[in-house]
Amino acid sequence: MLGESRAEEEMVERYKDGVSIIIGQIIHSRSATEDLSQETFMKAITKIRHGELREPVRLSGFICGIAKFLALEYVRKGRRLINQEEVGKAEQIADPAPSQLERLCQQEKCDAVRQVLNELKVERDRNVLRRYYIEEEDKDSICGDLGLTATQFSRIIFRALERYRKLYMKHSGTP
Amino acid sequence: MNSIDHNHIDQFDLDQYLLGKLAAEESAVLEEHFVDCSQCIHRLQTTRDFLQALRLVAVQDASKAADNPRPEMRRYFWRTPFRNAFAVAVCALLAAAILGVILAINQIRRLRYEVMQAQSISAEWERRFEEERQAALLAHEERQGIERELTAQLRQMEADRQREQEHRAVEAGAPTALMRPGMNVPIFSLNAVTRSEQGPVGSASEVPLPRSPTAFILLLPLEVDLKYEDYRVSISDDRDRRMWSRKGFQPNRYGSLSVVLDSSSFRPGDYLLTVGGVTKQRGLTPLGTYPIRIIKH
Repeated sequence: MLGESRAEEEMVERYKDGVSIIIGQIIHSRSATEDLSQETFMKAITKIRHGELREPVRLSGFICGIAKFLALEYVRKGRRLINQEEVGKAEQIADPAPSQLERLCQQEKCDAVRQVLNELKVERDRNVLRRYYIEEEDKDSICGDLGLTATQFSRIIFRALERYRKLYMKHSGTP
Repeated sequence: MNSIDHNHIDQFDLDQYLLGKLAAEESAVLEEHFVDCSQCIHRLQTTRDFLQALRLVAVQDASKAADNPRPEMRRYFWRTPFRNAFAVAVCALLAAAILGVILAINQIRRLRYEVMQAQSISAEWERRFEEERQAALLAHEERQGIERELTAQLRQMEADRQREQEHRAVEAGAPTALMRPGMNVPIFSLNAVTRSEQGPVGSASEVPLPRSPTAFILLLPLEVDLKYEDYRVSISDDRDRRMWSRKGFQPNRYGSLSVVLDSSSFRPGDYLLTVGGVTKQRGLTPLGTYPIRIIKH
């Protein structure tokens, strides 16, 4: 039993960030994402204990499937509540407003992004980031308009992300 | 084992996943890989945070722009590609304005030059017109003068012709007023005047004649020695134009020359008879002048 518990902890530690990203792509709420992540692992452990994971090499896909199913189920449940006007169950939906700590983290990230943007000496690079990440334009279209090769485009993105990562780590004190 | 190799995943795949642009199958394959890949998770987290912060910054900037539109709009404007388009448009407008000014100046210069040319041509034509008008006036006056002169010459020629006819008639023996037998022929005796006496009005001898043609005789007493072989008598009018001249006169025994004339050859006015003596050695010598004034009544 002790070994199984340690293995389950290792599994959670190993997959929690990935599961959080997968759920976060479907549900844009940090608290709901955390709840669903925990639920994902509870379901996964339960299923594994019941021997429903027949191929251990498929563990990653198994966990991903559970996480996506729960996230989608959460979205469907939220829609049902809104459609059926079940006001009495509204407290089951987490408050989407960020907490104070989350707002602080967000502001730090925004400051880092602003610094990254200000450090860009070429207006074209700012245009690339804006059109690619905010306006979600096609990469080929942007390259065609601005006369960039794919390599130049990737270099702009890479440098911006690297600079952002370093600045954010510096601001947040993350090693 | 992951379904795809980590080396085959690049930033573009992760971006497409975070932007929700991958197909369901592609997303599932990628998720199955990165859920167990710390490197990909780290890149995904960084990219996701950057993406979210970038969008938040854009929202914040847009909100500020809405609160204070002018500077933000201006900043946004100058940060966007519109700046280049605006600059190009301004340059184009300036270039068009400058070009327009240059063209207008050239046009004004050309028009001014044409006006000056037109004025010059007009002045030239005006000058030519004035010259031709003056020339026409001169020609007209000259023509009138010539006409007057020709008229006078014609009259003179007419008078000469008439006298010539009379002369020929006399020579041919035709009966003229002079040759026809007459009665009560007036005879006027004239007095010779010296040069100092000539000129005053009162010195001319008056010769009253009827208006009807008639012959009359002038007696010219000679107050010199009668030593000349021949005598000539000439008649000039008041303009000193010779009307008649004849030689072959001889004085009578009273020392006078007699001249028979036709009154129709004379108009009322002053005339001058001149008598000269002719010798072979000395030619014609003036002997005296006899001014007369023809009066017709």
